[in-house]
Amino acid sequence: MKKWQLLLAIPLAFMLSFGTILSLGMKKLSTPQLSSNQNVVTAQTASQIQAVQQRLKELGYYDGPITGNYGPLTRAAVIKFQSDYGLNAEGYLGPQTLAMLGLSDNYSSQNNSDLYLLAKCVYAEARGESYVGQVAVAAVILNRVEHPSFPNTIAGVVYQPWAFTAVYDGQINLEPDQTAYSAAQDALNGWDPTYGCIYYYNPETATSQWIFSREVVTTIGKHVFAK
Amino acid sequence: MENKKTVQKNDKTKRRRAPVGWIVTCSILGGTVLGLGTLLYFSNQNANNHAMRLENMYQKSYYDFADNINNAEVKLSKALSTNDSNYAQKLLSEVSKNVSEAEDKLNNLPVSINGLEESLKFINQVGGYTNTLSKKLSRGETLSSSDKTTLRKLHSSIVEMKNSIGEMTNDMKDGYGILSNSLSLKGDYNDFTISLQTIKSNDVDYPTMIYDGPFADSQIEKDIKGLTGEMISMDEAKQKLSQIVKVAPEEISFMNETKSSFETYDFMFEKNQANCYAQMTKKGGKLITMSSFADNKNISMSKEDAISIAKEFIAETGVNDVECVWSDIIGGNAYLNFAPIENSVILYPDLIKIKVDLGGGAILGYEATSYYTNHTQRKLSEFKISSQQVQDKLQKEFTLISTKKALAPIEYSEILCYELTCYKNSDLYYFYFNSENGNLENVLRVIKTNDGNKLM
Repeated sequence: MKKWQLLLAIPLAFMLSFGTILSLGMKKLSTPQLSSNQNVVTAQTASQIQAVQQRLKELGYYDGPITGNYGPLTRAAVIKFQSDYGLNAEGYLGPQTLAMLGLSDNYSSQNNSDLYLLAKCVYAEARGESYVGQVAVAAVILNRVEHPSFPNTIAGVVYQPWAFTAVYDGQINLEPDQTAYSAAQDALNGWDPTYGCIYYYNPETATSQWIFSREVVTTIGKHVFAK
Repeated sequence: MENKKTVQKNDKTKRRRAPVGWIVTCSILGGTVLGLGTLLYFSNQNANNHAMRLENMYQKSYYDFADNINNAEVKLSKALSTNDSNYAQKLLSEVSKNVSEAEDKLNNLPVSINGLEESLKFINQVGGYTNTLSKKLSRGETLSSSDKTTLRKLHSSIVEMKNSIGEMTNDMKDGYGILSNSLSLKGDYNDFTISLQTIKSNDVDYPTMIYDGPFADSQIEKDIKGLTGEMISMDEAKQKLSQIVKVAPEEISFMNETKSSFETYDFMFEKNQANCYAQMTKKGGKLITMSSFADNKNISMSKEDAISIAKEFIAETGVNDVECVWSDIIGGNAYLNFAPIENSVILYPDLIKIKVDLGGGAILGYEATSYYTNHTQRKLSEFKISSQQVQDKLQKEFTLISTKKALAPIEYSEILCYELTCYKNSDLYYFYFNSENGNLENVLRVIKTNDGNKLM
């Protein structure tokens, strides 16, 4: 009995585990990672709250400073406004309240897809680097967009075949952290510690001889930046 | 006897049971093998399908690329053989579209990055040059003889490129697989890149193009106008940085030197628990960039506070003539742009950008490359038309908020403009009207996004 029980168990276990691997793999592939970074949402709220405070001040409901902090003063003003305008007076800043304040949800209406894509590429390529190392990688991507030898959009540069290892091996699909977002934002705002470099490489792992022939501008962390 | 029987019976049962067990086991094993085999077959077929789809996309990109180059060649030859400037203008603008499409398609192909740099640059420059000439014709000007000479050279280069593409297309007809050839690496290139190298620059005679349009190399290497003073040593630079950021020199570490249009000493130090990276120019010892990051979600100060903190910091770096001309709050940080204002004209080319932490008021970032690249004593000409004249050009649905004078960087040159800020519905617009002829030079719209405002 035991002998063929064992014989039966092996393929069963194998099938089961194989099935699990398969289904896990499928799950990983099919779950879209769309959820926006929580920090960004919270952070955006700060400037939105400033707008709310400003508007409440204009309407005579709030006389505190414009801080962007949703403190007790602001909350009290929101509740007063809500009860005056026949809204649920819970102090919750929902779309209805925002619309009534004349601040319709315009802020969240457009996603900054360039920033997101840039942040993803920075995170995938340079998450182990210092902050300035991440700004530099973002700047190289943007310099390529401007450069005649490269595609003219951020998506074109990021997804250019053979351009970035992290795109090739799928790390590009990891969700970027707040540091990567901030580095991408800085680069978009014009920060470029590499002064126009269009290449970077890790001299310890680079296999291409050609890349060593480029004019080196600077080294930040593990990356050499070149023109 | 009884015992022997029992033993025999048991033996028989054993003998009978054993084959049943084996049959069950074998059939399960067989089933498993069959199942796995089927699974493997389908997943393999799936992979093949994906590979085929990818190959088809590559083939499409390749043929689109070839078509666009062929069309550009034909149109360019027509443009060279006509004296009708309207028709030439139309053709040149189409050539420009064709080559930019060709560039896009070539970029979709799995070429290793360093393989076709020169070809792409050539294609891009043809696009820029034909576009410039097309604009010139649409302004009513004519093509000079040197324009025509350059165009003829360009044409013969494109003819060579077209011939190379013809050879490649013959290989494609013989079943050349782009995907399979792109997967094997040979040194710095992959096989596909090597095949495509017939289209590489070395085979093409590139004319030297000197023009003021976009993508000209001369525009990428900018002259530095705003740096004066002696070359300083690393220690002197460290001392200067220490005074600006108020960190003792012993706590500032020298990291590296940067050699580019700006030559800098690069330093790292810690301030307010954040690692700051700062670059000081060797010439004149100016702070040119600084980067650091603070994950702050609490805002405890107003934008106005941030502006005055930023202004004090800029003064520490030795710049005293700037005012805040743009501000935006992204996350817990204020991004502020400062520019000099001369005779009430905002000098936008000379921007200094600064990032302030709205939690603790720390300076997180500083960027003065534009300022030191462009800032110089300029002779600003008089405004030839009145602000009323340009305000009259606004459409009625725009509500005017302010009219300012500005020097605006437009397509690599500086143009003296009126800057009109206005609202339409809830959208904010900036209009730039030329101060000499009132022409509209640029319109920017503020786009509100999840991550702050964006100008487009």
